[in-house]
Amino acid sequence: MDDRDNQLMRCFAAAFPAATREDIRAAGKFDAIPGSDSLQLVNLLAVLDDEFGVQVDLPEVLDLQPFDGIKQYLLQRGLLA
Amino acid sequence: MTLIDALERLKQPVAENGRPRKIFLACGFTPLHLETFLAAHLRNRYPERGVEVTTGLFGDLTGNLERLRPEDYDALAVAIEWPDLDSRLGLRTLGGWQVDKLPDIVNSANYVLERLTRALQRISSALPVCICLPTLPLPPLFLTAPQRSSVFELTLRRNLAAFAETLSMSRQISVVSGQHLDEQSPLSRRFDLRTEIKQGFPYTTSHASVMGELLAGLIGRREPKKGLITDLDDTLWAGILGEAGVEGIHWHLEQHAQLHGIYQQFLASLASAGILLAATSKNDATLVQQAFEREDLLLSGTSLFPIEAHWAPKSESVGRILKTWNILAESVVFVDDSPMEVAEVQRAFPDLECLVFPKDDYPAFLRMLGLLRNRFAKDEISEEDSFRLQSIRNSGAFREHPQGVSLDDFLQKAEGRLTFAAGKPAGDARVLELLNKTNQFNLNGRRYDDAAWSKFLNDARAHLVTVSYEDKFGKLGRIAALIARPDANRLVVESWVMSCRAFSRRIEFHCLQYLLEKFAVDELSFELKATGRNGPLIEFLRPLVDGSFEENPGLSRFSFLGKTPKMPHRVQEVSIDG
Repeated sequence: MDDRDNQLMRCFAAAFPAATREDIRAAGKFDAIPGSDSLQLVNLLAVLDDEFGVQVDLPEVLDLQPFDGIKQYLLQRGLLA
Repeated sequence: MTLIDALERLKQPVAENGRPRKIFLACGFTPLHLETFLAAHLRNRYPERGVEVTTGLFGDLTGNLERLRPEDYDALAVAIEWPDLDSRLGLRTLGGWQVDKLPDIVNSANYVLERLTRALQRISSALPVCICLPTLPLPPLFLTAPQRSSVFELTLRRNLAAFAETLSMSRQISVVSGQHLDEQSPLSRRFDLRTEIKQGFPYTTSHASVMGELLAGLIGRREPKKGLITDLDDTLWAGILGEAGVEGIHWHLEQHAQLHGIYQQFLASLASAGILLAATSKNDATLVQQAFEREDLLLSGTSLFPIEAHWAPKSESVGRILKTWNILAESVVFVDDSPMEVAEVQRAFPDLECLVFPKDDYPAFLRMLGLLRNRFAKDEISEEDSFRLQSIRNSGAFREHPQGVSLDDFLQKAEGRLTFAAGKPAGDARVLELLNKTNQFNLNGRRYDDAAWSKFLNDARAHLVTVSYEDKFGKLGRIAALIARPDANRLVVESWVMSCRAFSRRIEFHCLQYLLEKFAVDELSFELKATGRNGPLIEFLRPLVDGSFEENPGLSRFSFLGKTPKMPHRVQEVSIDG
């Protein structure tokens, strides 16, 4: 895992406290992350805003694969250096 | 603290499995990140205890407060925003901003403030409450230009100020300082319209963090420092006394020395609130004495005790001052303009908070005053605060009682008078100060925050006894407090603290005798716990108790009578109604 992955994983781990890093990486959808709920998803979006300065709306990410999908989303916008 | 820091803080395990602190967060918006930040900041303040934050229904601040059962919580935090007073003052509802609606908006806001006042006064009789008045900008509903205050806006703000003033008169209610909030979170960086509309959460995360920190700071207040040691040359005054002479030192505007005058004025304010002040200066003692005779000083020389003026290292002076005051370095701040002197003292006393006096840096000077005010902040001034320094001067007579005179004789001739007061005085800051700040003569280090104190006051089985002392050398005021609970034929002492100024006078024996007589029991049981600092209490109790000293030691009336020395003081009793 490189620095970019670590930075993003820190956001996920903070927002989804019941999930391990492996759980987060393996999840195909947000609702597959153990213990996830809508509040945690809102926390993740707020953390991404704080850490990367990106305002993501919920519908934009709901269908993404959580970790890799968000990573690609940030990479495409040049926000994950 | 950023949101990711707060979330990570809340993931960390709690050190002890004690009962978590239960906080009700009342707000009309979705609590979301404010709840997270409040919980995280409270965890920082209470690392040994978990925190449970409960919130109410969305959009019903007043109803949430009217329904709240104070007995279910340890504290209440309230974040009021304009839409809580009238939803038309927000941007999530579309109730109309026509001219003819504006008076009704103001009236309905006032009606809600009256309901809030009643609800908060009810809750605050049993629970500590902290309140933050609206922090977000009003929406552009008034017809005046943005740079001009509308009469409706001014009326709203006047009613809000009156609401806050009424509530802040209650000791149990704290209102967040608007000025302090402005400094921490600029108005233009508080409101997030996007999250307000999409999630019902109106704060930027940075503003939510500041709000969480301020509310947590009012719920979990830190104990204030007790004393300040100041340098003299280029600190208390401008100039070097040994070079410029008594008339050559300054602290006035005309001599470009205003910062030193402000500092003197500030220290005089601390002294008037019972904060101990002392001075240490590498100087000629006679010259220093002459300098303090100048009548234009804003800080009287008698407010400083002791004054250490000589050429020895300042760390030695600080050591002697701490010994005279009999308080720990961690409770004291040291201020000196010389970074070298500050470093020397800091090396000797790592727990002492040491500050360099910023004599040429105006913003840093103002920051220093703000920091000092924070360190020495007090909500109330007690009678004891007014004569604390004098009683420390007087206690020298006890430490140095004449050689060849027995302690019995000396105490007898001191003409000591002890007053025991049984009862629970409501809103007595001194008793809480004694319980929460005393380290050395302290049964177990138990502290009482506002919530614990409220619970104690409402517990009919728990008794409070306070002890005052005076003798021919002067008044010490209230110097001891005991909390005890009868249990069949014994009395369980849950807390016992005594000010270090009252040591060596056998007051502690009088306390035990009073408990045995007052509660007519045959045994005292002590909820003793070694704290690492309460050596004097342990040394006193160890030879007295019966059997094991390890767990809740006991003392029978019979043992006490056999081990008690001569009781030197006259005793009287008063009762207090809450």
